[in-house]
Amino acid sequence: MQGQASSPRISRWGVVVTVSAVLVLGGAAALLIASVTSSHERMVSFAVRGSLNGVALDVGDGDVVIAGGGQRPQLEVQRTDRYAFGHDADVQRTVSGGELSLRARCPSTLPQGCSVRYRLIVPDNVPVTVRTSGGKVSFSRYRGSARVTTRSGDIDIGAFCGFSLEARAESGDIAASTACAPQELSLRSTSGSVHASVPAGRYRVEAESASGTHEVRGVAAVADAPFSIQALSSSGDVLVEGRQ
Amino acid sequence: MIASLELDRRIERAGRALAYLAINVPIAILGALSVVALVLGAALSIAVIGLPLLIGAAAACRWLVRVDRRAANRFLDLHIPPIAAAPPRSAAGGPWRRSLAILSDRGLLRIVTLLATKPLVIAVLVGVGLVPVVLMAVLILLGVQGVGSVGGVDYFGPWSLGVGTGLVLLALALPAAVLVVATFDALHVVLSTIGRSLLAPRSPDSGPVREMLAESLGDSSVAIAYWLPDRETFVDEAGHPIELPQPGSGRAWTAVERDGRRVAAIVHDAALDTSSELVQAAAAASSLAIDNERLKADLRARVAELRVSRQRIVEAADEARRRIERDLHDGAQQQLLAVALELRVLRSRVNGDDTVALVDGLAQRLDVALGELRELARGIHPALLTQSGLGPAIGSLVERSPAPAQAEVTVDERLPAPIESAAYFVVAEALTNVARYAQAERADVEVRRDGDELLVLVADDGVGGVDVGSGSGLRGLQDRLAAVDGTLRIDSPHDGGTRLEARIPWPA
Repeated sequence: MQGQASSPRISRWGVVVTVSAVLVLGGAAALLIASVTSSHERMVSFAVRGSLNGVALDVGDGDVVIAGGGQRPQLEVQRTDRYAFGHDADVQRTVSGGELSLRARCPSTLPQGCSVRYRLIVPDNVPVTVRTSGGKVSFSRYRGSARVTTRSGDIDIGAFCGFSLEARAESGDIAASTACAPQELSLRSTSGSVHASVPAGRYRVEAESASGTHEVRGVAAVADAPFSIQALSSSGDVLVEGRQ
Repeated sequence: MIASLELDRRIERAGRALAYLAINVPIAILGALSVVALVLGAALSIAVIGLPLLIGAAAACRWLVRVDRRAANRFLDLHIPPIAAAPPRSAAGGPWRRSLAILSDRGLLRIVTLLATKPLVIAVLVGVGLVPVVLMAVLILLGVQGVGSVGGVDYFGPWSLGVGTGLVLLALALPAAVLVVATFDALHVVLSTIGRSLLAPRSPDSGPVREMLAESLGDSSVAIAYWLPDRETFVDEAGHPIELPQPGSGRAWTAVERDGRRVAAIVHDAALDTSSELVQAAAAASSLAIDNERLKADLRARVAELRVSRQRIVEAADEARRRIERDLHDGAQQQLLAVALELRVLRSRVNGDDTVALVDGLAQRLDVALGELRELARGIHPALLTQSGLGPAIGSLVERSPAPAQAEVTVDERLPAPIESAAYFVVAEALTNVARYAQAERADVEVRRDGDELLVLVADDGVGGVDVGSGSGLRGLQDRLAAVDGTLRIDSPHDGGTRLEARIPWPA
């Protein structure tokens, strides 16, 4: 096992293994360190004035926070980019037919160093459509109609008041709490849990789970009530509760 | 340069370590389950369900370690001899006692310790092995994506993932592969060390020849199998039959011959096969000593066999006697009783003194016949002994004895049937002899436990001078006693008095 040409203490195989370890493990470590040191964060803010028919966000793995803006005359957008090695996200902003579309995609890098976060302050009665794949979506005190679709991202909606709220997730969890009785509340997740919290009252309730538990408490389920709640999950738990 | 790396050998060893680890993952999982079942079974053994669980779990543990040992022999070249099977256990005693007996087996405790630590050890080693494998897989995957411009990754670090980066990554997969081989090569050493220290049995107890061979061959696991030509089997030093190892089991054997005939086989590590001259030389040098040991082993095997066969004969004879007794009781005796009853009915119907006297005479003779039949049945095999044990049976024997006799039986517990019948027939035969030949005034029977022996003593004050060789009765008694390892001593001086003393080892 002793190599004649190499040092008498380390065999040739030992040299080969050491060199390989330096190349592979050292390379991996260097890459990780470089990724951290070249990491950069950038914040962009702008406002859109005038009347809007709606806002649509399509942000991939980015997170989205929507806050209610009350009677403000403008819609405010705050975007936070984080990226390494200078590979920042591809961002698009278009307005067509009175609807503002925001689209952002991180490039697929290894190691993953890019992320985008959106924070919007939306005036009352401007409908919002959000679509993400892995990003989390949260609403707070938003008044209007909203449609949210995610794959693995969680959806968290607090103090919502408006005409309709439609939330769809594949593996993400959905939690929705409304400040007023919504005309149409539709929450569906394939494998995540679904939790709806509404003011106590009379609703048309459809709460089902194929293989999880489902429970309705604190609300009166009436077939011809004006407000409807739909909370469905295939394998997650479903809970619909009324607050006093 | 490449040759001095001994890559072939390293890759092969790494592959073996990988295979052994792969087999050990299910073994570790099943082993943990079996140990849990064993502990549950031990805890529940106060209930009925615990014992089967315990027995099943212990068997599963043994089986898993056997599989593990075979895998270690196959993949790590450890040459570990089989771990001795569990000693046979008596089915007697309550579930608690049997559970304790199973749990107190030290071999089982070793097995359980081995299986209980295995999941942790295997998890750590698999984790260590996975790191370079995952690195290599990622490098190859990214490299192929870059070269082929397919897949969803756009950048690798600061570089865009194109053909150039892909080629570099593919080139880096080679040192990653070296790391994989090095890691599993090292795991081979670790696994061998662990396996050798945990799986190898403690060296078996053995004779001086084995010790000598073990030392000269440098293989502490050497065992000698002695050949018994008339039975054509191999036996170990204690005379128990053993199997020679199969090829490929990691163990091998070398025949030992003396003057052209087979004497024994040396069972040794298969690695010694490559230097079979050494084994042959050792075998030749020790053939005389081995032949001597073989004769001893042969003798032990014969003695053991003889004991078993004698016991079988006596048990078969006793069984036959019991059957005849039952048949007499249920068949002829019942018939005669029915006839006696009908005679009584007939007597009330007939008139005339002559006829009545005739019927009475018939009834009397029938009674005598019945009595003789009962006596006969008792002599063949006393039902009372089977039902109530030594005390009542000997009591009834003494009551019916023509010579005045008294008995003192202080054995209350029931003993195995062969021992009870041996003691009973000693007393029966002795009392018969007293009545026939001794002209004794009285006879004393004593049955008691004396240390770890059952002592049966019959003494009379008759004429004495009994010749042991003369009657078949006493010889039959000696055979019967020998079958239960008992001895018979007769002290009968010509100036009067006979003392018959039988000693039977108390059952453990």
